Amino acid sequence: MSEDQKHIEQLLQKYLEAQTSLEEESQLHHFFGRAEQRLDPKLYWARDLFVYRGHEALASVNSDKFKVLEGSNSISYYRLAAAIAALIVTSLGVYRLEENYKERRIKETYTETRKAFMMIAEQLELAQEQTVYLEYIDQTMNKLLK
Amino acid sequence: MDQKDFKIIIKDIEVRLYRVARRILISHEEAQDSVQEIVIKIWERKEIIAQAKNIEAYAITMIKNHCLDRLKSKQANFVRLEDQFADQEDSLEETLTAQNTVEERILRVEQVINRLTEKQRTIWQLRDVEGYSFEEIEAIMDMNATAVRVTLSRARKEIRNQIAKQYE
Repeated sequence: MSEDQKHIEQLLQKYLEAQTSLEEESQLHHFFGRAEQRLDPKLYWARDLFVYRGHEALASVNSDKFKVLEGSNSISYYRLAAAIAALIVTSLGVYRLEENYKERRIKETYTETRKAFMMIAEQLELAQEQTVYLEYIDQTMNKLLK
Repeated sequence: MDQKDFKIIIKDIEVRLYRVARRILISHEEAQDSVQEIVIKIWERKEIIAQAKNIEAYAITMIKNHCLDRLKSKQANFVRLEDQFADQEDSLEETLTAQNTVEERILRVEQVINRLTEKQRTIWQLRDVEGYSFEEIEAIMDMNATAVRVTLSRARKEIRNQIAKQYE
């Protein structure tokens, strides 16, 4: 076993016990990050893990995995969206109010008209009664005159 | 702090916020939502935060708490996180060989890490990817030094065991 590998294995042992410093962890990272070297298969796990670590630290910065709105504009976009939403809600509310108002006006007019017709009908009925009464008077008068 | 200063500060840390959120929630979409919510919260509290010694640690603590709460409410709603890994479990049964590409090996490691407990994978992320000192991690996680090291050690050993198993 080379001196290099012995040192790496000792560092890995420390790494597993969470006793390595950031400096030592970066040594491990550089060792396993080197081009595919002839590696003892028992260290494959460490190679995969340190390659992943490096990939993860860089990947999210440049990849399209990170699509959060440009930091500088995220708040104004958010505000704009909120403003548009508020505008839509308000317009809808006003429209509904207006609709309600129209509907109420129609109902009122209908009721008023209905009342008016009822009154006319009542008067007509009364008039009819009066007519019958008049006819009755007419007949009586005729009888008396005869 | 005016908007210009705020933009500069946030630009530097939102990628970290995203990575930590994604590690905890294991979902790109949920991580994005969380980052946006936290950035807005930070803007609202900018006066208080401007006085904090370490704005980055403050922001990371906020996102960690936010994501852990989100995870808890998800679990409370009986959304089993394990369900998300159903497909991954199958692929983990396969063995790794020297023929596997780097991309395939990276994917395997990601699956192994995402199957750790949320505390283990958060601490692993903070140390191994974000490179925070143990003191910073203790503050962010609100844990003592021993507890942080024990959790990190368990996480690393579990990762080793799971990856090594695939090469047997």
